[in-house]
Amino acid sequence: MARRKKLKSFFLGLLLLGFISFAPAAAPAIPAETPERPLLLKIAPPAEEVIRVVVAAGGTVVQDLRSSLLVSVPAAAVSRLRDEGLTFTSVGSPAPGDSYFLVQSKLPSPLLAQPGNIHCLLLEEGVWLLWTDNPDFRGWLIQPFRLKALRLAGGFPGRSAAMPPRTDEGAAESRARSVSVIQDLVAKVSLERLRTDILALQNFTTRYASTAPCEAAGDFILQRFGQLGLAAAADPFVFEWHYASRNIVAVIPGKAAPEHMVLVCAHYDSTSNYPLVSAPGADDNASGTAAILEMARILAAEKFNLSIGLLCVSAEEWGLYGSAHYAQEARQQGAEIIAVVNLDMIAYPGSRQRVLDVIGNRQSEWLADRFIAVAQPYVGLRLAKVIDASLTWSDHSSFWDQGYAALCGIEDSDNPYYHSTSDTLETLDLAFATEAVQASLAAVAELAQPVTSLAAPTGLQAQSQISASLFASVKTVFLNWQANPDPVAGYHVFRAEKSGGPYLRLTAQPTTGTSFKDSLLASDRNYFYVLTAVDGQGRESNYSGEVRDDENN
Amino acid sequence: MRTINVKFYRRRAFWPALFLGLFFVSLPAVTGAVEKPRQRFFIGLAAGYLYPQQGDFREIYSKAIWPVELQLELAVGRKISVFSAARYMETSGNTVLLFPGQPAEAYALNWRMATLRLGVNYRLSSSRFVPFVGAGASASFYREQWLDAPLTTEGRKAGFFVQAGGRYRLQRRWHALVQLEYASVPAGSGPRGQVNLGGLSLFLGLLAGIF
Repeated sequence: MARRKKLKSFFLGLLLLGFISFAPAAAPAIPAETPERPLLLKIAPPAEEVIRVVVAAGGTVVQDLRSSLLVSVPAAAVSRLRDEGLTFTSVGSPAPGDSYFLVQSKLPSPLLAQPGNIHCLLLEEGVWLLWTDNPDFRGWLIQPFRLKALRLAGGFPGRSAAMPPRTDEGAAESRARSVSVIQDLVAKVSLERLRTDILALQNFTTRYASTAPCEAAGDFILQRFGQLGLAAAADPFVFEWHYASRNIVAVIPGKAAPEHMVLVCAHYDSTSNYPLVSAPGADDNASGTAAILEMARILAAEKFNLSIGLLCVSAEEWGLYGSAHYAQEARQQGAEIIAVVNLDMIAYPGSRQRVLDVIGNRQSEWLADRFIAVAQPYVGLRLAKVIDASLTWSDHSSFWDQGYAALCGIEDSDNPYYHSTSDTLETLDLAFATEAVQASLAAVAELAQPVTSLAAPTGLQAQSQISASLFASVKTVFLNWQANPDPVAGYHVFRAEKSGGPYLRLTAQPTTGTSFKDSLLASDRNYFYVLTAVDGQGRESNYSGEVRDDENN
Repeated sequence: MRTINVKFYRRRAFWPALFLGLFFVSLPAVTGAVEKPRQRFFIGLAAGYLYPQQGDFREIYSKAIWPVELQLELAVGRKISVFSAARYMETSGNTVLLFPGQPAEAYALNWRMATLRLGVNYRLSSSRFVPFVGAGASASFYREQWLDAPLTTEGRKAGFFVQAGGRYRLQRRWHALVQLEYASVPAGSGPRGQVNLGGLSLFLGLLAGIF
């Protein structure tokens, strides 16, 4: 009896224990406090107002494109976007573990087949969104393709207009010509040195990021910068969870405003159809890397008012990882990069006319204009401006994402050896590459403002007055400045409608006095002025400080 | 209602006008003649002096403005007549500074305005001297030109006017005319605020009765 009682107690206890154990599961479910998964949306048009609405709703812009925006927003904010009158299509909610890429492909589908764990969506002509948890997804992509890894959060601060450098637009050509320093620099570009460096980079067999030869190529670049006496460093980063590589960066410090930097960059990694075995990448992108080395050699011997950054990035072929790392760090550290010139494939003009495309987005258009205006007089090849936010397949795009003004200089041709083991030195046109380097060198030097022996004018003051009739009014601006301590032939006066330029030269010939009157201006806007001094040989100083028309009223 | 500036009395046109006005007003009393007008349709020419209503106008166009006018008038009743007139005026001036005290820059200006007027007069008597009051609407075509710069403003604005005056029969057909008028021609906004091209004007003229 006692035994039965014990057995009964045992089972009762077991039942109680079971009840206690299962009680939480049986109880009504309490929602777990997990963060809400965002939604990816495609919104058109890619307007500033749309970005403001998205950001106000707690979203971020993942990618700015030619005709649309890819944005990430909290699911709860979707109704708010609809209330604001935005039209969008939902791409879905990113699953944990999925990686997102932008794929540039001219094919009807970028995939060989459609495996279940690789998803593709056409965003606009030639631009696909790909997401997958398959680390070997590249094997499913049809060549040729170009990749950009996307960051779904925190990468894109919006479109901040980078500060244009203090240089004039309208008179850029004549100014660039007049600066003998730039002429001298351009004349120093050596075709033979480009050939030697491209060959040296090609001889690493492969520079596929994550491989030892690629790291050796990084060491080679680091060593070359060091030989020029530049402060150079490796900038390591990790990509796709466990791969590592390094950007190589050197700086020529500016004399007057070293905090402002003009950055010229190129990726030194390569790829091919057998990337682990052979990826010579002579055009893509030993040519751009050799350009950086040649520009470093020439620029290191000169002095500039602004700093010049020389950046060789890695893992571009994997999805712009190196430049994305550098640009994000630069933005976080508040680096004042006023312009980025990215060189990617500059040695294969093809059989068509010799054209170097200068690619920018809407915020970088001023830089493309500036590059062409300054550089075109020095070269025979044609510089062609292309403004298209969807051309995101090279490292300039990483800088666009961080709100910097950036452009890409690239040959206007389809290299048949692209991403193949046949992309070798023998296929290249080094005369074309030399001119591309000369153009880039002229533009970078102009942007960084060479220190010339002629001192810039000082003491510029401006007063403005508005003359009115019954129905109309005009503004007159009175400028005066201190006489230059150096012997000068005169001064050129420049005006801009925005602070920082672009400036338009107002004086056909240097004015000899120390005052200037600018008449018949619109009375409802402000104007900004700078001066240069010109000596007897026609050499021009750098710009004076800028003044606003009513600064001394 | 704006008061007439003291300077106005110093204008040289005022005294002849006052003299003529008093002369015409006193004539009926002197002659004692009371005659009915013999004509119903009149054509006349008048000239006068304009005192612009707006201070900005007077500041920019500080020279005297002497408008001339061609009038046509038709009596449509014993007391009522309708009239139309074409008026032209031109003057010159200089721009003014919005912020005095800064370095100065002035531009020469030219101002022209043609006005078509249509109105009704009410005759207060039928004697040899006929005082009248009237009112009407106007359409003004103006042109402001900067002589030193490629800037010209042209426009067309409607306005209204009220007037009072008198007509004195000199001979069988000929009548002398004196007329005081206030006109308003709002012309939108300019750099210094709203613009009105009207003002106070005094006209003297001669009318001829045609039939």
